Amino acid sequence: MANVLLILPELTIFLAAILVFKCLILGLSVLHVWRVAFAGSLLGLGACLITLGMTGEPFHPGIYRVDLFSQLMKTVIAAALVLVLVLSDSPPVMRRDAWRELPFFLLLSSAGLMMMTSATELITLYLALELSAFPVYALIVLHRDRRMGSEGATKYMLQGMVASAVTLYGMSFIFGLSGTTYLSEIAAALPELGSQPLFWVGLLLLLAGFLFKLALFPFHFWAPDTYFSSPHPVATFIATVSKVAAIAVLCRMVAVAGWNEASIDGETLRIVLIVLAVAAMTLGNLAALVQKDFKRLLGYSAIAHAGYIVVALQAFSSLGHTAIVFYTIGYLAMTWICFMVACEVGRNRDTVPVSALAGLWQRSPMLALCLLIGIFGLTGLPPTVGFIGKWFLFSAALEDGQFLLVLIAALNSAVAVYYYMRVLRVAYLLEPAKEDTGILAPSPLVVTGAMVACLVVLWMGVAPNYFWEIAAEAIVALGATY
Amino acid sequence: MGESIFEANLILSLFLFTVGILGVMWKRNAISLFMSVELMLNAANLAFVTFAFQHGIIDGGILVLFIMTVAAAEAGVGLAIFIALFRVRRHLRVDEHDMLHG
Amino acid sequence: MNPAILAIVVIFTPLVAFATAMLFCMKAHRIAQGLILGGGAVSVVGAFLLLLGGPSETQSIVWLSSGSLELSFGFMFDGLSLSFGAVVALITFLVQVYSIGYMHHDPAKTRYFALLGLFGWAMLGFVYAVDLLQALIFWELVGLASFFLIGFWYEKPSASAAARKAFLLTRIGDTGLLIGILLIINISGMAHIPALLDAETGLTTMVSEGTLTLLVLLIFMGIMGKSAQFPLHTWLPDAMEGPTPVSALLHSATMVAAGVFLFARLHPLFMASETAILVVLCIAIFTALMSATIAMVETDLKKVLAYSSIGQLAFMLAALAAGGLLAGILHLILHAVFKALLFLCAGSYIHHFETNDMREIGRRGGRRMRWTTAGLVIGGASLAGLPPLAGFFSKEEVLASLSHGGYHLIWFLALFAAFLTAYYTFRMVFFIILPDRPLEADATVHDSSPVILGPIIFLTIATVLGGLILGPLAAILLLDVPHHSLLSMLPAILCALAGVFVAWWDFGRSRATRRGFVGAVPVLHRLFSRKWYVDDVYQAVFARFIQLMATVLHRVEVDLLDGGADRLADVTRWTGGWTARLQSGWVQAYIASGVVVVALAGYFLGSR
Repeated sequence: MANVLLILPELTIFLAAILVFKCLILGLSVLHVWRVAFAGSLLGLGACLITLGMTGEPFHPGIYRVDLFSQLMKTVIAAALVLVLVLSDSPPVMRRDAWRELPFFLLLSSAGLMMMTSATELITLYLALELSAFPVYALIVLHRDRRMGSEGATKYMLQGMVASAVTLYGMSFIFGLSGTTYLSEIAAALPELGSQPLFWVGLLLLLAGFLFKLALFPFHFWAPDTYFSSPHPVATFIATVSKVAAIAVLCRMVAVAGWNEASIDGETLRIVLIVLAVAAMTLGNLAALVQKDFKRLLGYSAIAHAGYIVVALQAFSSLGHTAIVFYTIGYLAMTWICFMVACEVGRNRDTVPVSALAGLWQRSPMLALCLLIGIFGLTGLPPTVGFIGKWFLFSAALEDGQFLLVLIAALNSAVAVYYYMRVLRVAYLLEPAKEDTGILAPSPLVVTGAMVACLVVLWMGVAPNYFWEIAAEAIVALGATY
Repeated sequence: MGESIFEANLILSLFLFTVGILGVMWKRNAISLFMSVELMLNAANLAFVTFAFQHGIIDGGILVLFIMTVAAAEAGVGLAIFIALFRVRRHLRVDEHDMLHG
Repeated sequence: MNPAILAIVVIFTPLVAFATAMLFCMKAHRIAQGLILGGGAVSVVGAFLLLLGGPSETQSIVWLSSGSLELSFGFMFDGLSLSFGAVVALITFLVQVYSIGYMHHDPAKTRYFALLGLFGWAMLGFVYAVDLLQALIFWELVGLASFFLIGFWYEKPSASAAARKAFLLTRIGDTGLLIGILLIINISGMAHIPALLDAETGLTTMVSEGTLTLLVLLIFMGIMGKSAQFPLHTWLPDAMEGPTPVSALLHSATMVAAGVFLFARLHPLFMASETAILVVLCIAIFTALMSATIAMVETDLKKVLAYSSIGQLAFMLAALAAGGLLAGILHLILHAVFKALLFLCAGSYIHHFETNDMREIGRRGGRRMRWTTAGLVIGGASLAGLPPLAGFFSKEEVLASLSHGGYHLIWFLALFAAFLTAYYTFRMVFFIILPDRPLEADATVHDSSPVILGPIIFLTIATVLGGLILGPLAAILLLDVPHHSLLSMLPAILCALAGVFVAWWDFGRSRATRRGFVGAVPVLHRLFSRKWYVDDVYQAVFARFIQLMATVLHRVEVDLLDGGADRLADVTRWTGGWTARLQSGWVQAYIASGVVVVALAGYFLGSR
């Protein structure tokens, strides 16, 4: 019984997915399906909160670990899922006949993502990775514009499949060297393994699949294309929920590779990560400067943010990990706000060009204010979490003596100001185009979600201590395992 | 089995993986790309089985079953998407699909 | 009352007013206006109550602790915060009152007033901040409010461009500031300002002088951006695209002074590094001379004032760097008063004549706006440093601190800059009150409305009486009042008088050429046609030099620095376009580049 309680969040989401599937077979109307899914995701969030303090291993020891870190990440995933579902309650830009299948795939993918945060065994990890990826491939295809949807899905899937195949091959290396697929045993054998260069090659290959999900250079090409070509809520899901799980896995893998007294052999992996981070930040920010589509711009901004996160990840320290967990929570809220605006503005549009935001201030002050908060967050301006979160990320790298890296990151965030401010300029200072002068009225649910997200962004920015301590405790729990 | 068998198997696995990667990069048809990816997965399978024998543990063999299942599911999703693509575009040459760029 | 509670009221009332106006009053202009003004009034009262309460203990709470690092949030109640806070609140309120008249016909009034509220919050939050990080947060917010207010008339492309330029240039400085603060926190594990400044346990005891120099120079980068010092100054003249009350409040009196304020706040740290002092002095004196020479050839009323702000900020920095804490702070406060006065007067003219050209204002009867003109003359005399006005006292202190500090060359150059300041200020005054042709009997010229004149008159009186605060200010700062003999004041007075006289000579008297000694070069025969050979020859030689300098600096200004910033932006955008082209749409190229990079990284990992 205790074991069932431990996996309650995943179980709830899975059962909700199955229930939704049943509803689909029964041919219930779209609204009913959505309600079931929404209730399921809320229950899932509740289950996460219940299990927040628990620790244990529900299955065979070493395969699957429930602790504060995993449960915190699951809570974040569940909350983000609820927020994404909030955006899908009215017709998104999906094919009419396929719209009602959206909640099912979202639930299924979320269950996979939740498993990713707890998996402590390579094959479990791989299964969770694929479970979370397939439903998303299927969702992109369901875009209203079939040409765009199918092309986007094909490209995303091809890149995703190659990345996960590389991951699997990396796993085989590590299995070959250590003779085990359990992370705890690998961590125990690290002093011996760490001296073999092949182990680090394997680890790099293994990380490929997760860096791909995070959209770090050189696995970043999918992000702008996929954000652009997905139905808006699906793009939101990819940009928020799946990022969290990828970050969780990366934290866990790096924790396994050993922080604090990081072995000298790990140094080379750090150098690789630094190079990738610098490339991702620079590339993402520069390319974002010339973007005309809002979602595509957010895609490039996501690449840059992946770089910022790796700036702290490469520190291989508990401080860096805490900063990452903290920033992830805030990043999720900020990104969701921006995508929420894209969803609302793009209700009847296949794509959301930046120019579609023109006159947002007059069309809906509420949305304009949300956009302001979200964009401020992404820019890294106070008093949002974007500022304090970046501060933590950079100071973790600085603690480690990476002065040059932080300098590059700071310069990058200065460049980024330009394109973020351009978005705000369009939203606040330009007159709306003739064809869309209508008032935008988001549903009460969306308004509630937006208020919660804005509150999180500001709260974490103004009084970060509370969230910081939770993140720190979660990282302590993670560190205690290895 | 002797050490040489393991080595031969691993070299074969590496060869398969390389062929897979090159195939992904060079073939034009989406189906061929897909087959190349399957080749990469099978290279990993071969490596897992070999290592399992080398270490004398059964884990690797079990893993292979999982991976094959995943690969089958992947084929299901992938082919469905290709069909969707084919219906709109009437061809599957991936290098000619360039709606998304910039 | 507990000063902390009072400080919270002072700082956050404008924020509440801003949020309420922004969210609920977009159509109700009058209510929004009332809200902001009410918030401003509460701030003024609170800030003066704090000032009257005198210095008290710093109050702060722990805001964030992670590991060895502890960041706090709180307020400082030393003389610097209290006095400058009161000035900021007061001028903000006066400008808000003035804006009722100035922005009367603007359809977007609510946005304007709300942004003034936002600015008030950010600026006051910065002034009272106790923690470096807290200060940085409000510092950025001040920059943001400035961005929005410069670009307030965004439909003018030049205003949008100016707003962006201001934000980007200050942001360059802020990058240095951010890194400097990060390093300080990293080295010392704290950001609590009083703790950092402590002579026994503070930052100066923790690091070598070389490191300290690096740290303070990084911080100085931020100061250079915000206080518009060479070479990051070019945004300030462009920022005059904003409404004139905004120029008065942000771009002369308070916001640009934030840099100087930060310098004064961290004064002991700067003082501990000889190199940093020298760098600051050189930059400041160069900026002062450069801005003065440029102001001499400028005919746009607001731009003359903008260049004079740059020059006066440089004076403050020079005084602080030379060790004259009292002098710098005094000039900071008094300059805020009389420069706000000058801008408000300029706004009054511009509002009436709808032109920025001071010659045209003069020709069309600017002097018939009597109250405004009185304000302009008194403010100008103060800027020129004529006794017994506010500017005289503070400029005198600045010069005295330079000579006491033993920087005689700098002192001499500063005297020269003071001479030029007096010259171009009175050039401006004479253009307006003594136009080159007789005024027509134009009955339509009348003075501005009472809401505009009220703040002007108030500030005029403050400018006349400003010198009286020297004693109380020194008391609240816990510093000694220096005594200067009349003899030591003589050079400054003479320089100012000489500047006024030359200006009168060139622009005021009835037979004046109105081209200035700067413009008199190519026409040597005219020099001979004049009767005062000595002066003319002297002027000619002098003017050649000055004009050469002015032209060179003007070219440096326009082509190199201005153009440089634009080129930089262009290059960045071009790179961006090129980077985006990597996203070719060919999925196999994506995969291939991923594979290649991983292979390279794998080779690197494997070969170690």
